[in-house]
Amino acid sequence: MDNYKSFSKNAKKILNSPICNNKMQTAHYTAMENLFCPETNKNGYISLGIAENVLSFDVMKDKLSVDPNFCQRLTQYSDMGGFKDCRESIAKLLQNHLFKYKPINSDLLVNYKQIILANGATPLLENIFNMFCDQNDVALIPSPMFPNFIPFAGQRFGVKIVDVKSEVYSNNNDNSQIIDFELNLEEFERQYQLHPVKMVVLCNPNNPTGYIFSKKQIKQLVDWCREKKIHLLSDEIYALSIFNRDFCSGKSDIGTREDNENNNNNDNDNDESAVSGGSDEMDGANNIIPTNEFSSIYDICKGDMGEYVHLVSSFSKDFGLNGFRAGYFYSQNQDVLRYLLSTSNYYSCSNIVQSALINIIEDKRYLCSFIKENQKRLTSSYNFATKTLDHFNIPYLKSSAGLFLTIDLRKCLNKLPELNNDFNNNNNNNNCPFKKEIQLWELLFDNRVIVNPGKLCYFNEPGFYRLIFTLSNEFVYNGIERISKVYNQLIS
Amino acid sequence: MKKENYEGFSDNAIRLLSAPKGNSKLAMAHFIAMSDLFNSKSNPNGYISLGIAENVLSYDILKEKLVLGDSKESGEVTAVPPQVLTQYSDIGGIPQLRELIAVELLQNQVFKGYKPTNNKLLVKKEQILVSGGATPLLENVFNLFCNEGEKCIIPSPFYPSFVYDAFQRFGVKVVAAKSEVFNDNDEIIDFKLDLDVFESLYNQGGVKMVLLCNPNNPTGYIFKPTEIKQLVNWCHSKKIHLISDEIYALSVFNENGNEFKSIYEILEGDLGEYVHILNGFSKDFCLNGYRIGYFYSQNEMVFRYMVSTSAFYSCSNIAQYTAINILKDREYLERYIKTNQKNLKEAYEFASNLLNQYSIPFIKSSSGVFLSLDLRACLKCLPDEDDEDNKDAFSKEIKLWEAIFGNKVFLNSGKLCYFDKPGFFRLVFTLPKDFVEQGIKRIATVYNSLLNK
Repeated sequence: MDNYKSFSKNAKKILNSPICNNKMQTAHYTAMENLFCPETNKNGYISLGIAENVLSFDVMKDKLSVDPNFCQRLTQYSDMGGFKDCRESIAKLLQNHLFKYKPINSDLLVNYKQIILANGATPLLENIFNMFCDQNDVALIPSPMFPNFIPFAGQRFGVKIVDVKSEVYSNNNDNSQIIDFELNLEEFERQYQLHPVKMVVLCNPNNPTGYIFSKKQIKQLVDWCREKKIHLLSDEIYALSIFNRDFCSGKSDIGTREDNENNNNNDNDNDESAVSGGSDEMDGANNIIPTNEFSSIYDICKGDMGEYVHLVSSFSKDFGLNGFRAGYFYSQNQDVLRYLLSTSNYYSCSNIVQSALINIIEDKRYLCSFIKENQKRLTSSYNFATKTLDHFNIPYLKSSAGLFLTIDLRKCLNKLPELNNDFNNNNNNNNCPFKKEIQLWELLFDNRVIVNPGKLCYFNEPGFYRLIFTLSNEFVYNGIERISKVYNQLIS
Repeated sequence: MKKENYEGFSDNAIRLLSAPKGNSKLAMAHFIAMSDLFNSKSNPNGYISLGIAENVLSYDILKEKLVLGDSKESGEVTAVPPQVLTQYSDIGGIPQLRELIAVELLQNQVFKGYKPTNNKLLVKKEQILVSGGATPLLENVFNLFCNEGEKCIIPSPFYPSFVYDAFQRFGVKVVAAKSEVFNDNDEIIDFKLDLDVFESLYNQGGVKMVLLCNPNNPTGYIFKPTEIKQLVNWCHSKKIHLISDEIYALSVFNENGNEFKSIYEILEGDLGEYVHILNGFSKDFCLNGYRIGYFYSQNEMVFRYMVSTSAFYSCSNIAQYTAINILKDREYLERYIKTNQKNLKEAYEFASNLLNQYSIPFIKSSSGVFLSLDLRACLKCLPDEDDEDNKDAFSKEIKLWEAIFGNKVFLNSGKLCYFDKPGFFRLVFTLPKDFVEQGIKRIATVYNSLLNK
């Protein structure tokens, strides 16, 4: 048996990579085969680990079952980069729903030619890493971060990720409390001096924390990148999954962005001064992480993204359409667009998906109401989750967006029994500070609940886990109850 | 002219963006044609493109299976709850689809029901990987076996995009193994897989794999099973991998040519470590816009690599469920394949009769959606190139291509397909009859007027 002697270096690298913890790898599948059901399978697994949002499907359903535009053209080759009308629809989606700012210079308005469609954000991200970075070049990403950036960059093109810590701790020497996240330019500069950095990726709103970065800091980061002549990719895949603050505290819906146009000149940074825990009545006293207002990088750049700033997103999270495989890219840099277009054969978006997207976006009334309703449901689920966590006395970091929040189980790490054997199958981890986090993860898994360990996200210290709450209340409640059993037993 | 600024791009990207632009008319031709398309009534002078390998002939019989969910028209309700469509599906493809591809599509149709005596060699769903089209699969296969600068041998003439799929992002080189067999009158009478040619290419170093497209694009030729077997043996002896691209396997319409046998059948079901099959729904099922490809291998390591990088070419759930819809109805599937083959045969006969009428030579095709014209006779009637620097063997072919395009017909030039000699053009005939008729008529005008000079 040849093994893979005849494979390329790229391929060998992937096939040789150690599988760090078997249980973790197969956890999801184990869970799927034995899923919790309140009636028939009370002991089944509950996975709060997959970032899917199923809350608004019934609102989406009508648009999926019948495609009025179905026609033969869909079976044939479409234009590279996507059908013109689909790209136009997405241009409108950006200009009217993601972006608030309308530049006076009409050249800066979103044009369909600046949009490239793909079968998901994943292959786009991979190709963007490849576009700016050679093998072993580095992309800087604020951590904690979405773990898959690493294989997207590294698997086939060997691009490395270096994380830039963003946690801000309180000054209480007793309690290392995370009170904020920040884009620390000194840290960026330090890493820039140490590595061959060619680009920066900013995921905003952030995964896994749901944190929205401050506009001011983002602008400073943009300036820093431009000065260094390195590219900045803004991954805004959760831009429309923002919790509705006013709805949280019982006020009326704030409505769509279009309704709010009077409030939208971005020169004042009023959002920074908002909310030091006060207005969010639902959150516990330890959740003083600020709720910043979201602005797309387009707005922050006042519509003038220039050569070095680009945007990527998809329909997976904001619209719950991850199975469709529909991602898109927006840039004002012609060379970037040209490169991505000429390699777009490798990630073309299925025509039938494009047609479904047009169906969704072009119905303006439907689109506005979907976004609003989805945000309402996200907020409601977030509230339910945090109330439940409070009920079980489990600490967590306040989230402002996305499908998740971060639970803080640090307190019980020291209470874990010492293990002599090297259960990680990996000698390096004997002294690994995250050893206990993994051990706790396994305990949770044995108790039939899955959350994602913070180690994968490059949290600064062990004990943090990402929890998805965009599931039925029953799932979320039972899942948190199981976490609590383990956590509270250990700390008592 | 604005200076191109590749500030901050990788070598890969710069290489691609800096590539010299070829004949720009060639590059733009398709788009020019599309914006001014022939219509027998409203735009009789519009362009006719016979250049894109699409088969639109069987759409009407395909239609009923393409609409998912509640269809008020057909009254058909699928059993698939639409919510499943929106969520992540299994890595590697939806299990039901993998099973259907393994059994209904490959074992029963592409492999024509051939079943090896050893049960272990039957196609299993765990050996099938579903992807978003065959193109990204191909690209990744090149990357799997070859480092940058290493080579893949492909018998020529071949499908032009192989070169880009290999080279664009992974820098893998394609080298052509000439397969044309000429008689004393310089006519192409056959194609063959000549192991001497393969050996001499191999000896130049760097060869890590072979790709065989059978049935072949652009000729529609079906390679002889005996030669394929010998090629497999040769690959084994060199310990290099062989990919069999069988994307036209079900588009065979001419029994007079060589009988098509999948490499699976030729090897009696035992693909072993070094042979793999690549395919898709674009051609045989006229679904190029849907983006559905698949890969079959009995080599676990190969399969593992392809699956662990499959996030980069996942297939949309809607497309997968459409494929399930097509494959799960065996009666329908067989009827579709037969009807499509009948349509292809009729279209081929229509085109070839016309070509004969106009005395335009062509290579007989057995499969696929195309045939190759042999317009060499009129090349010498073209004026010689004055500019010595511009004189390459194919410069007259390009002139001829321009003359044909000037008469509003778009064909693919043989140069791109690495034909051994200039003067060959690929003609796609799977279009409505009035298109094909007009197109051939216009080609004849150019061809014959040149000959009569």
